Amino acid sequence: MIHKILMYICSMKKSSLYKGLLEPIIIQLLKDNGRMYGFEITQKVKMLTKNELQITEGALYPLLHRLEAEGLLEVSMENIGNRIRKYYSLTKAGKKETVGSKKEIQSFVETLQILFNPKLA
Amino acid sequence: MLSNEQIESLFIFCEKHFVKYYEVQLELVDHLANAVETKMDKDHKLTFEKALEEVHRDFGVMGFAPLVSEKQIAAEEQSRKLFWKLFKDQFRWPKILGFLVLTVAMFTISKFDLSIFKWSFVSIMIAGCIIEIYSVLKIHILLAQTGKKFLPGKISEFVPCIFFPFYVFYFPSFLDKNFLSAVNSTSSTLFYSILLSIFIIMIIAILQTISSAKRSLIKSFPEVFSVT
Repeated sequence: MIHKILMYICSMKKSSLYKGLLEPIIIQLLKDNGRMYGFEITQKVKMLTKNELQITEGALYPLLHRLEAEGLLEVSMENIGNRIRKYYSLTKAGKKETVGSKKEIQSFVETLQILFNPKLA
Repeated sequence: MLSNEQIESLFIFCEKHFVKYYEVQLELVDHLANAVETKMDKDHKLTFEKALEEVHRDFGVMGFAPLVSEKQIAAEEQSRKLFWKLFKDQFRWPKILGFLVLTVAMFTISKFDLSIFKWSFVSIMIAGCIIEIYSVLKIHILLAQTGKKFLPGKISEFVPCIFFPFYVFYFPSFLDKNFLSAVNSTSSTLFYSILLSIFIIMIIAILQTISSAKRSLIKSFPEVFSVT
């Protein structure tokens, strides 16, 4: 699911087009992968979209912090040798949010298909 | 993997770029270290300093500033939300009994002797102020001992805002010499009794918020707080 969404978004290329979708993308990634840290999220998105979509640090971290404050994400710290790593995972409320955001994106993609590619819709 | 000295230099780099809070520094240092390692793995000729410069450039013209300010806003929102949650919890069964007992006790005192009621109110407000200052100072001292700056330190800015209306609007009225004649009615004494109970519950909620922030810091950063 997340792969399809990301590939669709990447086909749009313009970063401004996916800005609003960053939140559901992160929530979906965390749902699929359990817990992740910031850099891992940026790399995973890059990998899934074959370098087409790059989440900037300036957009990613403020969003992660906001979702944490809203109670959708929880954090855990882990010592990985000479530094500490902060992992993000979904809370119960965050898991509930994945259902809503998935439906929202699906309907968004369908709407765009109707508008831009009526034959496929 | 970067060396301990290189990790240390990343902390210094963050400090130099106005990232003062330890929570933000930790996350940034790990991110920078990962990004630098990835770049150096791809290009073995690339030096640590050059790779760091490139990684920093990827953060855009604003650098780390949006990250720090957003984290600050998020942390303040988190504290505020926790405070109001703990405050509202006091109105759920069976905790609401505490609120009811306090209100009835104050109201009974007012019926018995208005002067005792007045001085009870004034004493509780002063005691509340002392407790607030003490608990805020306590967390500040704990944070200061670590030699690092933490976001929960900002609670000291949030506490006065919450109690501002009590001390500005209600406290002076109690010190007014015409107070006793002004509150000589059941509705006004009931109003002040409820107000005082709310004030006490707010003090309890603030203490719980500060204690929760402290627990969370100790749990998240045991390496920093175990030495204090």
